[in-house]
Amino acid sequence: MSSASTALVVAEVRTRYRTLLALGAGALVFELALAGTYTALGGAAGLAQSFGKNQPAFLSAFAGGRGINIFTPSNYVGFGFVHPLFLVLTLTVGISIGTASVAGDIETGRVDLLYARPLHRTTLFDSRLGLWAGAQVMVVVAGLVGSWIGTTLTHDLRGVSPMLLVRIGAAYLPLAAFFGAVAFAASASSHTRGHALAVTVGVASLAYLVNFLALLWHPLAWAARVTPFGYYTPLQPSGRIDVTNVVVLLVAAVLLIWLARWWLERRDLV
Amino acid sequence: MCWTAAMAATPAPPIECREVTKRYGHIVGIDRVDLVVEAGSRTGLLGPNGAGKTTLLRLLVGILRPTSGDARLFGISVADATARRRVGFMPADPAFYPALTGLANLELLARLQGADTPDRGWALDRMGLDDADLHRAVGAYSSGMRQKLAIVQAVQHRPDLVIMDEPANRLDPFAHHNFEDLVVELARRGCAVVLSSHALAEVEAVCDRLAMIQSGRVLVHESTSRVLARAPRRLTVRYRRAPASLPPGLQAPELHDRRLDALIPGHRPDVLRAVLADQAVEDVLVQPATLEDVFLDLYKGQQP
Repeated sequence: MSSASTALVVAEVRTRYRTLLALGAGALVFELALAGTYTALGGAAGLAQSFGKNQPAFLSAFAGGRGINIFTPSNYVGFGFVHPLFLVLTLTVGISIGTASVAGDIETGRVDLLYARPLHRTTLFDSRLGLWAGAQVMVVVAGLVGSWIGTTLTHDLRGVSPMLLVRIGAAYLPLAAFFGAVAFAASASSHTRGHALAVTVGVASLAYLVNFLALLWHPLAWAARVTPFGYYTPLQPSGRIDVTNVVVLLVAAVLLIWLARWWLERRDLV
Repeated sequence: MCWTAAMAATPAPPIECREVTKRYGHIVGIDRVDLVVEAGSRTGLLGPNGAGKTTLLRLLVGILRPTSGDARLFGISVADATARRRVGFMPADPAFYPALTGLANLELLARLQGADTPDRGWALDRMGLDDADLHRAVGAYSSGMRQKLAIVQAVQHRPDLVIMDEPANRLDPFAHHNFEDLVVELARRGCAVVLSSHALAEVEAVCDRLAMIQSGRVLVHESTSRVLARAPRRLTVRYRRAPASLPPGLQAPELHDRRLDALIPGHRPDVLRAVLADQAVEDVLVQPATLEDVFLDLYKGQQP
Protein backbone atom coordinates (compact mmCIF):
# COMPACT_ATOMS: atom_id res chain seq x y z
CA MET A 1 0.00 0.00 0.00
CA SER A 2 1.38 3.41 -0.96
CA SER A 3 2.05 6.19 1.49
CA ALA A 4 -0.97 8.12 0.18
CA SER A 5 -3.27 5.11 0.58
CA THR A 6 -2.00 4.43 4.08
CA ALA A 7 -2.55 8.06 5.07
CA LEU A 8 -6.11 8.00 3.76
CA VAL A 9 -6.93 4.71 5.47
CA VAL A 10 -5.53 6.00 8.77
CA ALA A 11 -7.62 9.18 8.47
CA GLU A 12 -10.75 7.16 7.72
CA VAL A 13 -10.09 4.78 10.61
CA ARG A 14 -9.62 7.69 12.98
CA THR A 15 -12.93 9.05 11.77
CA ARG A 16 -14.86 5.79 11.91
CA TYR A 17 -13.31 3.66 14.62
CA ARG A 18 -16.15 4.19 17.09
CA THR A 19 -18.73 3.01 14.57
CA LEU A 20 -16.65 0.00 13.59
CA LEU A 21 -15.99 -0.96 17.20
CA ALA A 22 -19.68 -0.63 18.00
CA LEU A 23 -20.62 -2.86 15.06
CA GLY A 24 -18.02 -5.46 16.07
CA ALA A 25 -19.16 -5.37 19.68
CA GLY A 26 -22.77 -5.65 18.55
CA ALA A 27 -22.04 -8.72 16.42
CA LEU A 28 -20.08 -10.34 19.24
CA VAL A 29 -22.73 -9.70 21.89
CA PHE A 30 -25.56 -10.80 19.64
CA GLU A 31 -23.99 -14.17 18.79
CA LEU A 32 -22.94 -14.69 22.40
CA ALA A 33 -26.43 -13.94 23.64
CA LEU A 34 -28.06 -16.14 21.01
CA ALA A 35 -25.91 -19.10 21.97
CA GLY A 36 -26.67 -18.42 25.62
CA THR A 37 -30.40 -18.67 25.05
CA TYR A 38 -30.18 -22.23 23.70
CA THR A 39 -30.14 -23.94 27.05
CA ALA A 40 -32.56 -21.41 28.50
CA LEU A 41 -35.07 -22.34 25.79
CA GLY A 42 -34.67 -26.01 26.65
CA GLY A 43 -32.19 -27.07 23.98
CA ALA A 44 -33.24 -29.10 20.91
CA ALA A 45 -35.88 -31.05 22.80
CA GLY A 46 -37.39 -28.04 24.50
CA LEU A 47 -37.54 -25.98 21.31
CA ALA A 48 -39.05 -28.87 19.34
CA GLN A 49 -41.66 -29.24 22.05
CA SER A 50 -42.46 -25.54 21.94
CA PHE A 51 -42.94 -25.44 18.19
CA GLY A 52 -44.57 -28.85 17.79
CA LYS A 53 -43.54 -31.77 15.64
CA ASN A 54 -43.70 -29.94 12.32
CA GLN A 55 -41.52 -26.91 12.41
CA PRO A 56 -43.24 -23.88 10.82
CA ALA A 57 -42.06 -23.26 7.27
CA PHE A 58 -41.82 -19.57 8.11
CA LEU A 59 -39.24 -20.28 10.78
CA SER A 60 -37.19 -22.46 8.48
CA ALA A 61 -37.29 -19.84 5.70
CA PHE A 62 -36.43 -17.14 8.23
CA ALA A 63 -33.39 -19.23 9.11
CA GLY A 64 -32.32 -19.29 5.47
CA GLY A 65 -33.25 -22.90 4.70
CA ARG A 66 -36.11 -25.08 3.56
CA GLY A 67 -37.36 -27.97 5.68
CA ILE A 68 -34.38 -27.73 7.99
CA ASN A 69 -34.67 -28.39 11.69
CA ILE A 70 -33.06 -25.25 13.05
CA PHE A 71 -33.15 -26.52 16.62
CA THR A 72 -30.22 -28.90 16.31
CA PRO A 73 -27.15 -27.40 18.00
CA SER A 74 -25.20 -26.70 14.81
CA ASN A 75 -28.21 -25.31 12.93
CA TYR A 76 -29.08 -23.13 15.88
CA VAL A 77 -25.58 -21.69 15.80
CA GLY A 78 -25.87 -21.26 12.01
CA PHE A 79 -29.21 -19.49 12.48
CA GLY A 80 -27.34 -16.75 14.32
CA PHE A 81 -25.53 -15.95 11.08
CA VAL A 82 -28.64 -15.53 8.92
CA HIS A 83 -30.54 -13.61 11.55
CA PRO A 84 -31.49 -10.12 10.23
CA LEU A 85 -29.80 -8.42 13.18
CA PHE A 86 -26.47 -10.08 12.36
CA LEU A 87 -26.93 -9.21 8.68
CA VAL A 88 -27.67 -5.58 9.50
CA LEU A 89 -24.75 -5.28 11.93
CA THR A 90 -22.23 -6.74 9.53
CA LEU A 91 -23.48 -5.38 6.21
CA THR A 92 -23.57 -1.89 7.69
CA VAL A 93 -19.77 -1.93 7.50
CA GLY A 94 -19.72 -2.19 3.71
CA ILE A 95 -22.75 0.04 3.25
CA SER A 96 -21.29 2.75 5.48
CA ILE A 97 -17.79 2.79 4.01
CA GLY A 98 -18.90 2.04 0.45
CA THR A 99 -21.55 4.75 0.17
CA ALA A 100 -19.19 7.28 1.79
CA SER A 101 -16.37 6.50 -0.62
CA VAL A 102 -17.31 8.62 -3.63
CA ALA A 103 -20.89 9.85 -3.21
CA GLY A 104 -20.12 10.82 0.39
CA ASP A 105 -17.06 12.77 -0.72
CA ILE A 106 -19.11 14.60 -3.32
CA GLU A 107 -21.90 15.36 -0.86
CA THR A 108 -19.57 16.73 1.81
CA GLY A 109 -17.39 18.58 -0.69
CA ARG A 110 -14.33 16.58 0.39
CA VAL A 111 -13.96 15.48 -3.21
CA ASP A 112 -12.33 18.86 -3.96
CA LEU A 113 -9.62 18.26 -1.39
CA LEU A 114 -8.97 14.59 -2.08
CA TYR A 115 -9.42 14.16 -5.82
CA ALA A 116 -7.50 17.29 -6.85
CA ARG A 117 -4.28 15.46 -5.90
CA PRO A 118 -1.85 13.84 -8.33
CA LEU A 119 -3.41 10.45 -7.75
CA HIS A 120 -5.58 8.25 -9.89
CA ARG A 121 -9.14 8.30 -8.68
CA THR A 122 -8.97 4.54 -8.34
CA THR A 123 -6.09 4.86 -5.86
CA LEU A 124 -8.40 6.68 -3.46
CA PHE A 125 -11.20 4.23 -4.24
CA ASP A 126 -8.96 1.23 -3.64
CA SER A 127 -7.82 2.67 -0.32
CA ARG A 128 -11.41 2.70 0.87
CA LEU A 129 -11.84 -0.83 -0.48
CA GLY A 130 -8.89 -1.91 1.63
CA LEU A 131 -10.35 -0.24 4.70
CA TRP A 132 -13.69 -1.91 4.11
CA ALA A 133 -12.14 -5.35 3.61
CA GLY A 134 -10.26 -5.08 6.89
CA ALA A 135 -13.24 -3.70 8.81
CA GLN A 136 -15.59 -6.27 7.33
CA VAL A 137 -13.39 -9.17 8.38
CA MET A 138 -13.02 -7.67 11.85
CA VAL A 139 -16.76 -7.36 12.44
CA VAL A 140 -17.58 -10.82 11.06
CA VAL A 141 -14.77 -12.36 13.11
CA ALA A 142 -16.16 -10.57 16.18
CA GLY A 143 -19.48 -12.32 15.54
CA LEU A 144 -17.73 -15.68 15.11
CA VAL A 145 -15.77 -15.15 18.31
CA GLY A 146 -18.99 -14.28 20.14
CA SER A 147 -20.57 -17.46 18.86
CA TRP A 148 -17.50 -19.53 19.77
CA ILE A 149 -17.52 -18.15 23.32
CA GLY A 150 -21.26 -18.79 23.51
CA THR A 151 -21.01 -22.39 22.31
CA THR A 152 -18.11 -23.01 24.69
CA LEU A 153 -20.03 -21.65 27.64
CA THR A 154 -23.36 -23.27 26.74
CA HIS A 155 -23.49 -26.89 27.84
CA ASP A 156 -25.93 -28.03 25.15
CA LEU A 157 -23.83 -26.49 22.35
CA ARG A 158 -20.47 -27.86 23.37
CA GLY A 159 -20.67 -30.54 20.72
CA VAL A 160 -20.64 -27.94 17.96
CA SER A 161 -17.32 -28.11 16.12
CA PRO A 162 -15.32 -24.86 15.85
CA MET A 163 -14.90 -25.83 12.20
CA LEU A 164 -18.57 -25.00 11.72
CA LEU A 165 -17.77 -21.41 12.60
CA VAL A 166 -14.85 -21.39 10.17
CA ARG A 167 -17.18 -22.70 7.46
CA ILE A 168 -19.81 -20.08 8.25
CA GLY A 169 -17.19 -17.33 8.17
CA ALA A 170 -15.88 -18.53 4.82
CA ALA A 171 -19.43 -18.61 3.43
CA TYR A 172 -20.50 -15.28 4.88
CA LEU A 173 -17.56 -13.09 3.89
CA PRO A 174 -18.29 -13.50 0.14
CA LEU A 175 -21.91 -12.46 0.79
CA ALA A 176 -20.70 -9.39 2.69
CA ALA A 177 -18.24 -8.75 -0.16
CA PHE A 178 -21.09 -8.78 -2.64
CA PHE A 179 -23.17 -6.23 -0.74
CA GLY A 180 -20.11 -4.10 -0.05
CA ALA A 181 -19.40 -4.14 -3.78
CA VAL A 182 -22.98 -3.04 -4.46
CA ALA A 183 -22.45 -0.12 -2.06
CA PHE A 184 -19.18 0.88 -3.72
CA ALA A 185 -20.66 0.60 -7.21
CA ALA A 186 -23.72 2.63 -6.20
CA SER A 187 -21.46 5.23 -4.62
CA ALA A 188 -19.19 5.45 -7.67
CA SER A 189 -22.18 6.29 -9.84
CA SER A 190 -24.16 8.52 -7.46
CA HIS A 191 -24.14 12.23 -6.67
CA THR A 192 -25.36 11.88 -3.11
CA ARG A 193 -24.75 9.41 -0.34
CA GLY A 194 -28.50 9.14 0.18
CA HIS A 195 -28.94 7.87 -3.36
CA ALA A 196 -26.16 5.31 -3.00
CA LEU A 197 -27.60 4.21 0.34
CA ALA A 198 -31.09 3.85 -1.11
CA VAL A 199 -29.80 1.72 -3.99
CA THR A 200 -27.75 -0.55 -1.72
CA VAL A 201 -30.39 -1.00 0.96
CA GLY A 202 -33.00 -1.48 -1.75
CA VAL A 203 -30.96 -4.24 -3.41
CA ALA A 204 -30.30 -5.95 -0.07
CA SER A 205 -33.91 -5.74 1.11
CA LEU A 206 -35.33 -6.95 -2.20
CA ALA A 207 -32.85 -9.83 -2.34
CA TYR A 208 -33.72 -10.84 1.20
CA LEU A 209 -37.45 -10.73 0.46
CA VAL A 210 -37.15 -12.72 -2.77
CA ASN A 211 -34.97 -15.33 -1.09
CA PHE A 212 -37.38 -15.57 1.84
CA LEU A 213 -40.36 -16.10 -0.48
CA ALA A 214 -38.38 -18.61 -2.55
CA LEU A 215 -37.63 -20.63 0.56
CA LEU A 216 -41.24 -20.41 1.70
CA TRP A 217 -43.04 -21.21 -1.54
CA HIS A 218 -41.77 -24.11 -3.58
CA PRO A 219 -42.83 -22.91 -7.08
CA LEU A 220 -40.58 -19.90 -6.51
CA ALA A 221 -37.62 -21.97 -5.38
CA TRP A 222 -35.62 -21.08 -8.50
CA ALA A 223 -35.74 -17.40 -7.50
CA ALA A 224 -33.42 -18.02 -4.56
CA ARG A 225 -30.56 -18.50 -7.03
CA VAL A 226 -31.04 -15.06 -8.54
CA THR A 227 -30.38 -13.45 -5.17
CA PRO A 228 -27.03 -13.41 -3.36
CA PHE A 229 -28.71 -14.97 -0.33
CA GLY A 230 -29.34 -18.09 -2.44
CA TYR A 231 -25.57 -18.58 -2.46
CA TYR A 232 -25.21 -18.33 1.28
CA THR A 233 -26.31 -21.46 3.14
CA PRO A 234 -24.76 -21.74 6.58
CA LEU A 235 -27.30 -24.40 7.60
CA GLN A 236 -26.07 -26.92 5.03
CA PRO A 237 -26.43 -30.53 6.13
CA SER A 238 -23.23 -31.53 4.33
CA GLY A 239 -21.07 -29.51 6.71
CA ARG A 240 -18.69 -28.51 3.90
CA ILE A 241 -17.90 -25.14 2.36
CA ASP A 242 -19.79 -24.83 -0.91
CA VAL A 243 -16.99 -23.58 -3.13
CA THR A 244 -19.35 -22.84 -6.03
CA ASN A 245 -21.37 -20.46 -3.89
CA VAL A 246 -18.25 -18.72 -2.68
CA VAL A 247 -16.93 -18.34 -6.23
CA VAL A 248 -20.23 -17.01 -7.60
CA LEU A 249 -20.48 -14.35 -4.90
CA LEU A 250 -16.84 -13.33 -5.19
CA VAL A 251 -16.97 -13.14 -8.99
CA ALA A 252 -20.11 -10.98 -8.79
CA ALA A 253 -18.39 -8.72 -6.24
CA VAL A 254 -15.27 -8.39 -8.37
CA LEU A 255 -17.36 -7.52 -11.44
CA LEU A 256 -19.21 -4.82 -9.53
CA ILE A 257 -15.95 -3.35 -8.25
CA TRP A 258 -14.47 -3.41 -11.73
CA LEU A 259 -17.56 -1.62 -13.06
CA ALA A 260 -17.35 0.94 -10.26
CA ARG A 261 -13.68 1.68 -10.99
CA TRP A 262 -14.36 1.94 -14.72
CA TRP A 263 -17.21 4.39 -14.16
CA LEU A 264 -15.30 6.39 -11.56
CA GLU A 265 -12.48 7.12 -14.01
CA ARG A 266 -14.91 8.60 -16.50
CA ARG A 267 -17.48 10.48 -14.49
CA ASP A 268 -17.63 14.06 -13.24
CA LEU A 269 -17.23 14.24 -9.50
CA VAL A 270 -20.16 16.57 -8.88
CA MET B 1 19.36 26.99 -32.16
CA CYS B 2 16.84 25.32 -34.44
CA TRP B 3 13.11 25.93 -33.98
CA THR B 4 12.29 22.56 -32.41
CA ALA B 5 15.15 22.85 -29.93
CA ALA B 6 13.94 26.32 -28.97
CA MET B 7 10.44 24.94 -28.47
CA ALA B 8 11.76 22.12 -26.32
CA ALA B 9 13.71 24.57 -24.16
CA THR B 10 10.62 26.70 -23.52
CA PRO B 11 8.86 25.46 -20.41
CA ALA B 12 5.19 24.71 -20.90
CA PRO B 13 2.88 27.30 -19.32
CA PRO B 14 1.22 26.37 -16.03
CA ILE B 15 -2.21 26.45 -17.71
CA GLU B 16 -3.03 26.08 -21.36
CA CYS B 17 -6.64 25.62 -22.52
CA ARG B 18 -7.52 25.22 -26.16
CA GLU B 19 -11.18 25.19 -27.17
CA VAL B 20 -12.16 23.58 -23.89
CA THR B 21 -15.86 22.88 -23.57
CA LYS B 22 -17.79 21.32 -20.74
CA ARG B 23 -21.44 20.41 -21.14
CA TYR B 24 -23.83 18.90 -18.63
CA GLY B 25 -26.38 17.41 -21.00
CA HIS B 26 -27.85 20.43 -22.77
CA ILE B 27 -26.39 22.91 -20.32
CA VAL B 28 -23.09 24.52 -21.26
CA GLY B 29 -20.70 24.94 -18.33
CA ILE B 30 -17.85 26.45 -20.30
CA ASP B 31 -17.74 26.99 -24.03
CA ARG B 32 -14.59 26.79 -26.20
CA VAL B 33 -12.36 28.40 -23.60
CA ASP B 34 -8.91 29.48 -24.71
CA LEU B 35 -6.70 30.51 -21.84
CA VAL B 36 -2.98 30.57 -21.21
CA VAL B 37 -1.62 31.40 -17.77
CA GLU B 38 2.07 32.19 -17.51
CA ALA B 39 4.43 31.42 -14.65
CA GLY B 40 4.59 34.15 -12.03
CA SER B 41 1.30 35.73 -13.09
CA ARG B 42 -1.62 36.46 -10.79
CA THR B 43 -4.83 35.92 -12.69
CA GLY B 44 -8.24 36.89 -11.40
CA LEU B 45 -11.11 34.88 -12.79
CA LEU B 46 -14.23 37.02 -12.78
CA GLY B 47 -17.81 36.55 -13.77
CA PRO B 48 -21.31 36.56 -12.36
CA ASN B 49 -22.73 33.54 -10.55
CA GLY B 50 -23.10 30.61 -12.93
CA ALA B 51 -20.69 32.08 -15.51
CA GLY B 52 -18.52 28.95 -15.43
CA LYS B 53 -15.64 29.97 -13.16
CA THR B 54 -15.85 27.03 -10.78
CA THR B 55 -16.48 24.66 -13.68
CA LEU B 56 -13.24 25.81 -15.30
CA LEU B 57 -11.24 25.50 -12.07
CA ARG B 58 -12.64 22.06 -11.26
CA LEU B 59 -11.92 20.91 -14.78
CA LEU B 60 -8.31 22.00 -14.43
CA VAL B 61 -7.80 19.98 -11.26
CA GLY B 62 -9.45 16.83 -12.61
CA ILE B 63 -12.75 16.92 -10.73
CA LEU B 64 -14.60 17.36 -14.02
CA ARG B 65 -13.79 15.80 -17.37
CA PRO B 66 -13.85 18.12 -20.41
CA THR B 67 -16.43 17.33 -23.08
CA SER B 68 -14.04 18.52 -25.79
CA GLY B 69 -10.89 20.53 -26.24
CA ASP B 70 -7.47 20.27 -24.70
CA ALA B 71 -6.58 21.46 -21.21
CA ARG B 72 -3.01 21.13 -19.97
CA LEU B 73 -1.09 21.88 -16.81
CA PHE B 74 2.63 22.34 -17.44
CA GLY B 75 2.15 20.66 -20.79
CA ILE B 76 0.47 17.56 -19.37
CA SER B 77 -3.17 16.82 -20.13
CA VAL B 78 -5.47 17.31 -17.13
CA ALA B 79 -6.72 13.76 -17.74
CA ASP B 80 -3.33 12.60 -16.47
CA ALA B 81 -3.20 12.71 -12.67
CA THR B 82 0.52 13.53 -12.68
CA ALA B 83 -0.36 16.93 -14.18
CA ARG B 84 -1.44 17.97 -10.69
CA ARG B 85 1.92 17.21 -9.09
CA ARG B 86 2.98 20.89 -9.15
CA VAL B 87 -0.47 22.25 -8.38
CA GLY B 88 -2.13 23.44 -5.19
CA PHE B 89 -5.90 23.72 -5.16
CA MET B 90 -8.10 25.51 -2.71
CA PRO B 91 -11.81 24.79 -3.12
CA ALA B 92 -14.55 27.26 -2.31
CA ASP B 93 -15.92 25.15 0.54
CA PRO B 94 -13.06 23.13 1.97
CA ALA B 95 -14.42 20.01 3.68
CA PHE B 96 -11.67 18.73 5.95
CA TYR B 97 -11.98 15.69 8.18
CA PRO B 98 -13.67 17.34 11.17
CA ALA B 99 -12.55 14.70 13.66
CA LEU B 100 -8.89 15.20 12.78
CA THR B 101 -6.74 18.08 13.97
CA GLY B 102 -5.67 20.80 11.60
CA LEU B 103 -2.18 19.34 11.58
CA ALA B 104 -3.44 15.82 10.82
CA ASN B 105 -5.47 17.20 7.92
CA LEU B 106 -2.43 19.04 6.56
CA GLU B 107 -0.31 15.89 6.93
CA LEU B 108 -2.92 13.78 5.15
CA LEU B 109 -3.23 16.18 2.23
CA ALA B 110 0.54 16.49 1.89
CA ARG B 111 0.84 12.69 1.80
CA LEU B 112 -1.86 12.53 -0.88
CA GLN B 113 0.05 15.19 -2.78
CA GLY B 114 3.15 13.04 -2.45
CA ALA B 115 5.27 16.05 -1.56
CA ASP B 116 7.24 17.55 1.30
CA THR B 117 5.93 20.69 2.93
CA PRO B 118 8.72 23.27 2.76
CA ASP B 119 6.31 26.22 2.88
CA ARG B 120 3.95 25.06 5.60
CA GLY B 121 5.56 27.15 8.33
CA TRP B 122 5.66 30.23 6.14
CA ALA B 123 2.01 29.87 5.10
CA LEU B 124 0.84 29.19 8.66
CA ASP B 125 2.69 32.25 9.84
CA ARG B 126 1.22 34.38 7.06
CA MET B 127 -2.32 33.18 7.77
CA GLY B 128 -1.97 33.53 11.52
CA LEU B 129 -2.51 29.90 12.53
CA ASP B 130 -0.44 28.80 15.52
CA ASP B 131 0.46 25.49 17.13
CA ALA B 132 -2.54 25.53 19.42
CA ASP B 133 -4.86 25.95 16.44
CA LEU B 134 -3.18 23.11 14.58
CA HIS B 135 -3.66 20.72 17.48
CA ARG B 136 -7.40 21.30 17.68
CA ALA B 137 -9.95 19.23 15.76
CA VAL B 138 -11.03 21.02 12.61
CA GLY B 139 -14.65 20.44 13.65
CA ALA B 140 -14.05 23.06 16.35
CA TYR B 141 -12.67 25.64 13.89
CA SER B 142 -14.54 28.77 12.88
CA SER B 143 -15.30 29.07 9.18
CA GLY B 144 -12.55 31.68 8.85
CA MET B 145 -9.99 29.34 10.39
CA ARG B 146 -11.03 26.55 8.04
CA GLN B 147 -10.51 28.97 5.17
CA LYS B 148 -7.03 29.82 6.42
CA LEU B 149 -6.20 26.12 6.75
CA ALA B 150 -7.43 25.59 3.19
CA ILE B 151 -5.06 28.29 1.96
CA VAL B 152 -2.18 26.67 3.85
CA GLN B 153 -2.88 23.19 2.43
CA ALA B 154 -2.91 24.63 -1.08
CA VAL B 155 0.55 26.18 -0.80
CA GLN B 156 2.37 24.09 1.83
CA HIS B 157 4.11 21.86 -0.75
CA ARG B 158 5.51 24.86 -2.70
CA PRO B 159 3.51 24.35 -5.90
CA ASP B 160 4.27 26.11 -9.17
CA LEU B 161 0.58 26.76 -9.78
CA VAL B 162 -2.02 27.63 -7.15
CA ILE B 163 -5.68 27.57 -8.09
CA MET B 164 -8.09 29.13 -5.60
CA ASP B 165 -11.86 29.32 -5.69
CA GLU B 166 -13.23 32.20 -3.64
CA PRO B 167 -10.19 32.20 -1.34
CA ALA B 168 -10.96 35.33 0.65
CA ASN B 169 -14.46 34.29 1.66
CA ARG B 170 -14.95 34.41 5.41
CA LEU B 171 -11.53 35.95 6.08
CA ASP B 172 -11.35 38.88 8.49
CA PRO B 173 -9.72 42.12 7.23
CA PHE B 174 -6.34 41.22 8.79
CA ALA B 175 -6.31 37.78 7.22
CA HIS B 176 -7.47 39.37 3.98
CA HIS B 177 -4.47 41.66 3.99
CA ASN B 178 -2.10 38.80 4.82
CA PHE B 179 -3.63 36.68 2.10
CA GLU B 180 -2.96 39.39 -0.47
CA ASP B 181 0.68 39.54 0.67
CA LEU B 182 0.88 35.75 0.39
CA VAL B 183 -0.35 35.78 -3.20
CA VAL B 184 2.09 38.51 -4.20
CA GLU B 185 4.93 36.60 -2.53
CA LEU B 186 3.97 33.38 -4.33
CA ALA B 187 4.02 35.13 -7.69
CA ARG B 188 7.33 36.80 -6.89
CA ARG B 189 8.82 33.32 -6.52
CA GLY B 190 7.52 32.39 -9.97
CA CYS B 191 4.38 30.57 -8.92
CA ALA B 192 1.32 31.22 -11.10
CA VAL B 193 -1.79 32.05 -9.09
CA VAL B 194 -5.31 31.81 -10.45
CA LEU B 195 -8.11 32.88 -8.20
CA SER B 196 -11.80 33.22 -8.69
CA SER B 197 -13.45 35.86 -6.57
CA HIS B 198 -16.37 38.21 -6.25
CA ALA B 199 -14.31 40.50 -4.04
CA LEU B 200 -13.41 42.86 -6.88
CA ALA B 201 -11.32 45.23 -4.78
CA GLU B 202 -9.18 42.27 -3.72
CA VAL B 203 -8.77 41.07 -7.30
CA GLU B 204 -7.85 44.57 -8.40
CA ALA B 205 -5.26 44.83 -5.64
CA VAL B 206 -3.74 41.38 -6.12
CA CYS B 207 -4.12 40.28 -9.73
CA ASP B 208 -2.04 41.55 -12.61
CA ARG B 209 -4.21 39.79 -15.17
CA LEU B 210 -7.93 39.29 -15.54
CA ALA B 211 -9.94 36.59 -17.22
CA MET B 212 -13.58 37.60 -17.41
CA ILE B 213 -16.11 34.89 -18.16
CA GLN B 214 -19.65 35.21 -19.37
CA SER B 215 -21.96 32.30 -20.12
CA GLY B 216 -19.02 29.92 -20.18
CA ARG B 217 -16.86 32.00 -22.58
CA VAL B 218 -13.78 34.01 -21.76
CA LEU B 219 -14.62 37.51 -22.98
CA VAL B 220 -11.56 39.33 -21.73
CA HIS B 221 -8.11 38.03 -20.87
CA GLU B 222 -5.51 40.71 -20.49
CA SER B 223 -3.60 42.73 -17.95
CA THR B 224 -5.54 44.43 -15.19
CA SER B 225 -3.95 47.79 -15.94
CA ARG B 226 -4.99 47.61 -19.57
CA VAL B 227 -8.56 46.64 -18.71
CA LEU B 228 -8.79 49.53 -16.26
CA ALA B 229 -7.18 52.00 -18.65
CA ARG B 230 -9.78 51.18 -21.28
CA ALA B 231 -12.67 51.59 -18.88
CA PRO B 232 -14.51 54.93 -18.62
CA ARG B 233 -13.50 57.20 -15.74
CA ARG B 234 -15.93 59.24 -13.68
CA LEU B 235 -15.72 62.95 -14.29
CA THR B 236 -17.19 65.69 -12.13
CA VAL B 237 -16.86 69.32 -13.28
CA ARG B 238 -17.99 72.41 -11.41
CA TYR B 239 -18.52 75.54 -13.53
CA ARG B 240 -18.61 79.20 -12.53
CA ARG B 241 -21.62 79.56 -14.77
CA ALA B 242 -23.69 76.97 -16.60
CA PRO B 243 -21.95 75.99 -19.86
CA ALA B 244 -23.63 76.81 -23.12
CA SER B 245 -22.77 73.44 -24.55
CA LEU B 246 -21.09 70.24 -23.37
CA PRO B 247 -17.78 69.05 -24.83
CA PRO B 248 -18.16 66.22 -27.34
CA GLY B 249 -17.19 62.63 -26.47
CA LEU B 250 -18.60 62.49 -22.94
CA GLN B 251 -20.69 59.48 -21.98
CA ALA B 252 -23.92 59.71 -19.97
CA PRO B 253 -23.52 63.44 -19.21
CA GLU B 254 -25.83 64.87 -16.52
CA LEU B 255 -25.79 68.60 -15.95
CA HIS B 256 -27.41 69.88 -12.76
CA ASP B 257 -27.17 73.64 -12.26
CA ARG B 258 -23.39 74.24 -12.54
CA ARG B 259 -22.27 70.67 -11.90
CA LEU B 260 -21.57 68.13 -14.63
CA ASP B 261 -21.30 64.37 -13.99
CA ALA B 262 -20.19 62.20 -16.89
CA LEU B 263 -17.93 59.37 -17.97
CA ILE B 264 -14.78 59.85 -20.03
CA PRO B 265 -14.04 56.91 -22.32
CA GLY B 266 -10.69 55.22 -21.78
CA HIS B 267 -7.82 56.26 -24.08
CA ARG B 268 -9.51 59.60 -24.90
CA PRO B 269 -7.32 62.38 -23.45
CA ASP B 270 -8.74 64.73 -26.10
CA VAL B 271 -12.10 64.64 -24.34
CA LEU B 272 -10.55 65.72 -21.06
CA ARG B 273 -8.59 68.46 -22.87
CA ALA B 274 -11.83 69.74 -24.39
CA VAL B 275 -13.43 69.87 -20.93
CA LEU B 276 -10.51 71.78 -19.48
CA ALA B 277 -10.47 74.21 -22.41
CA ASP B 278 -13.67 75.81 -21.17
CA GLN B 279 -12.81 79.07 -19.32
CA ALA B 280 -15.83 78.61 -17.04
CA VAL B 281 -14.45 75.48 -15.42
CA GLU B 282 -13.91 76.05 -11.71
CA ASP B 283 -12.98 72.55 -10.48
CA VAL B 284 -12.48 69.11 -12.03
CA LEU B 285 -12.44 65.71 -10.39
CA VAL B 286 -11.49 62.61 -12.41
CA GLN B 287 -11.88 59.30 -10.60
CA PRO B 288 -10.02 56.30 -12.01
CA ALA B 289 -12.14 53.40 -13.12
CA THR B 290 -12.46 50.55 -10.65
CA LEU B 291 -12.82 46.90 -11.42
CA GLU B 292 -16.33 47.16 -10.10
CA ASP B 293 -17.12 49.72 -12.82
CA VAL B 294 -15.64 47.39 -15.43
CA PHE B 295 -17.52 44.42 -14.05
CA LEU B 296 -20.86 46.19 -13.90
CA ASP B 297 -20.38 47.59 -17.38
CA LEU B 298 -19.41 44.24 -18.90
CA TYR B 299 -22.15 42.26 -17.24
CA LYS B 300 -24.94 44.81 -17.31
CA GLY B 301 -28.17 43.08 -18.16
CA GLN B 302 -26.87 39.85 -16.60
CA GLN B 303 -28.25 40.41 -13.12
CA PRO B 304 -31.41 38.51 -12.21
